[in-house]
Amino acid sequence: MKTKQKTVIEKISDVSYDMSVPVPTEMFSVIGTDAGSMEAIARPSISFTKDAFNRLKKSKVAIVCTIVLLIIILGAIFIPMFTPYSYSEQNTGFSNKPMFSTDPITGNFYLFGTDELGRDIFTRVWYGARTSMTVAVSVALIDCFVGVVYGGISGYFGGRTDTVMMRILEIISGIPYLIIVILLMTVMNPGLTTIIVAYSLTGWTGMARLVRGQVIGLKEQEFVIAAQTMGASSSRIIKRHLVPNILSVIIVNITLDIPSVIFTEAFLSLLGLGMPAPMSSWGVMANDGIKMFQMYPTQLAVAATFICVTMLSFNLLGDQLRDAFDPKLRR
Amino acid sequence: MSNQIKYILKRVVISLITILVLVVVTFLLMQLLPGDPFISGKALPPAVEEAVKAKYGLDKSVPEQLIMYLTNFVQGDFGISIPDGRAVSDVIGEAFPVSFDLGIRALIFAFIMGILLGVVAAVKRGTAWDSTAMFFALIGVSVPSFIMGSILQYFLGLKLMQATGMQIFAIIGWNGLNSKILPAFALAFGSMATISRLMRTSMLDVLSQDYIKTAKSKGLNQREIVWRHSVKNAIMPVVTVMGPLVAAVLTGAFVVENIFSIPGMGKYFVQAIQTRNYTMIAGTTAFYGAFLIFANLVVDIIYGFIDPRIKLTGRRD
Repeated sequence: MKTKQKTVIEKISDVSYDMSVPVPTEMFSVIGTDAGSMEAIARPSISFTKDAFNRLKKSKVAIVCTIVLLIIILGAIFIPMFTPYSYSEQNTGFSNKPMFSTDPITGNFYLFGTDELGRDIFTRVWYGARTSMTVAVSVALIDCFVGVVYGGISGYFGGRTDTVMMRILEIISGIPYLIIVILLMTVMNPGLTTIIVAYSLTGWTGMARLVRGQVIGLKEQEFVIAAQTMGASSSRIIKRHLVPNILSVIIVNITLDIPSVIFTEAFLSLLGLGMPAPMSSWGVMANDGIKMFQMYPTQLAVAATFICVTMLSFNLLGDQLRDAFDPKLRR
Repeated sequence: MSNQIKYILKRVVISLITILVLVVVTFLLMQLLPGDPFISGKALPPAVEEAVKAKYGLDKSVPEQLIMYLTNFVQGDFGISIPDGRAVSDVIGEAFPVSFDLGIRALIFAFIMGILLGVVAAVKRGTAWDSTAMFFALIGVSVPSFIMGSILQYFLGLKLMQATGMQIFAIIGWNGLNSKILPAFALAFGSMATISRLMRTSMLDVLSQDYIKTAKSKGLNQREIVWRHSVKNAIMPVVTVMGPLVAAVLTGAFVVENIFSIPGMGKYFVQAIQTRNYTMIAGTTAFYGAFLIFANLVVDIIYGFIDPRIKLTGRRD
C-alpha cells in the first residue's frame, strides 16, 4: 500500500514542471480589469424595501388594488370640489330617483340618482369617501403610532415593565372593541374628531402586541447589542434600529387595519352612532340605503359597492404586501 | 397540572379585573353626561325631587354611587330604563335569548363551513377548489354583514318569492326555520371567511410536517391523514380566535337583527340610542361586555385543556 502510494507520487513529480523557474511575466498581460475594479459591485444594490417593492410590482393584483385605491383617494379629494351640487343640497321635488335621471323642471342631471331627500348620491358618495377615508387612515395611523411606542417600550425593556404593560393591555383589549366605541360615541358629541378619538382609543392593542413580539425577537441580536455598547439611548435604539426592522409588519398591519375601521364606521352609523345628520359618510349612506332598500335598491348598492371595493382592495393589497415582505420568499 | 391551574387562575383574575374596569368605565361615562334625569319634564317641587333622588341613591357622593352600581351589577341589576320604567335586566332577559340563538346558529355554521373550506383549499392547494374557496373567503372578509344581509334579503327573500310565488326564506321576523337561515348566514359569512383563511394557512403548515410524510409512507389513506393527523393539529389556531369571533358575531347581530326585524338586543339597543336612553345603553353594553369577556375566558380555558402543549409555556404568545 505504502509503496504504491510512493510510486504514484514519484510519477507525478516526473511530469511536473520545475517550480523554481519563475513564470515570465512579460508573456502575460491583464486585460479589461484592474485590481481596484475586481471588487466593484456590478449591479445596483437592492435594499430590502426595494426588493419587496419589485416583487410587489410583479403582482397584477397589487397593481390593480393600488390603482383602485388611488382613484378612490384622489376622487375623495377632488370630485366633491367639482360636482355641481353640495352634499347637503336638497331637491325635495325630485327624491328617490334612479341612476342617470334628469329633473324635468330644473334640468339638473343626477348620475347616481337622488336619495330620500333629493340629494345627489354621486356627490354624497364621494363626499362620504372623504369622511370614511379620513377616519380610516387617521385611526390606522394613530393606532400604529401608539401601538409601536407601547409595544416597542414593553418589548424592549422587558421584565417588570413588560409584565405591567402587558397586564394593562390585556385588560384594555379584553373589553370588546365595539362595546367601548359604542359607549364612547354615546357620551361624546358626534363629529369627525369624536369618531377618530373613539376608534383609536382601543384599536392600538393589536399593533402593540405585534410590535412587542417582534421587538422581543430582535432585541437580542448583535446589531442591537452593538448599538448598546456604543452608548445609544433606548429611545434611539427603538426608533433607529428596531422600528425600521419591523417596518414591513407595521405597514401590512396598517393596510389591514384600514378596512376594519371602514367597517366599524359603517357599523356604528347603522346603529345611529355615525356622523351627524347632514354629513355624509359611507356608513351614513348605507344606513339611509338600507331603509329604502326594498323600494329603491340602487341607493344601498352605490354605498355598498364603494365600501366593499375599498375593503376588498385594502385586504388584497395587505395580503400581497405580506407576501412581498416575507423574507422566506426572497430570492 | 399545576401550571394549568395557574394559567386558568391567571386568566380568571384578569377577566374579572377587565369586567370591573368595564363596569367602572361605563359608570364614569354615564356620570360625564350633561344633565340629570330631572332636567326635562315638569319642574318638581324640591321636596319631591329630594325624595326621588334619595330613592335612586342620587343624593350620595360619586364613589358611593359607584359602589352601589357595582353591587347592583353583580346582583344582575343593570338599572332602570328611564322612559318606560322597565328594569334593564328584564329587557335583557327577554331579548338576549333571541340574539344568543341567532349568534349560536351563526357561529356553528361559520365554524363548520370555515373549517371545511379551509381544509379543502389546503388539501387541494393550487387547484380550482383552492381558488374558489379563497375567493369566497376574500368576499366574506370584504363584505360587511349588513350588506350581505341586505343582498340576501333582497334576492333570496324578495326576488325569489316574486319569482316562485313561494316564501322560501322569510324576509323579516324570528319564527320558524325559514326566517332564521338568512340572518344566520349573513352574520356567519365574515367569520366563516376568517376561519377558512386561518385554517388553510394552518393546514398547509401541518401538511408539510414530517409526521405527515411518515403517515403517508406508512401507507395510510388520504382521508385518515387529513382528518385524523392534520385537522386535529391544524385546528388549534382557529380555537384561539373563537373568543374574538364570538364577540364579533354577537355584536354584529345588533345590526343584522335590525335589517331582519328580529326582536333581539339590537332592536332595543338602537331604540335606546335613538331616544338617548342612557341607562339602557349603559346597562346593555356593560352586560354584553361582561358576557363577551366571560365567553373569551371560557374559550381560553377550553384551549388550555385541548392543547396539552400550553402547559409548558403557560401562555399563548
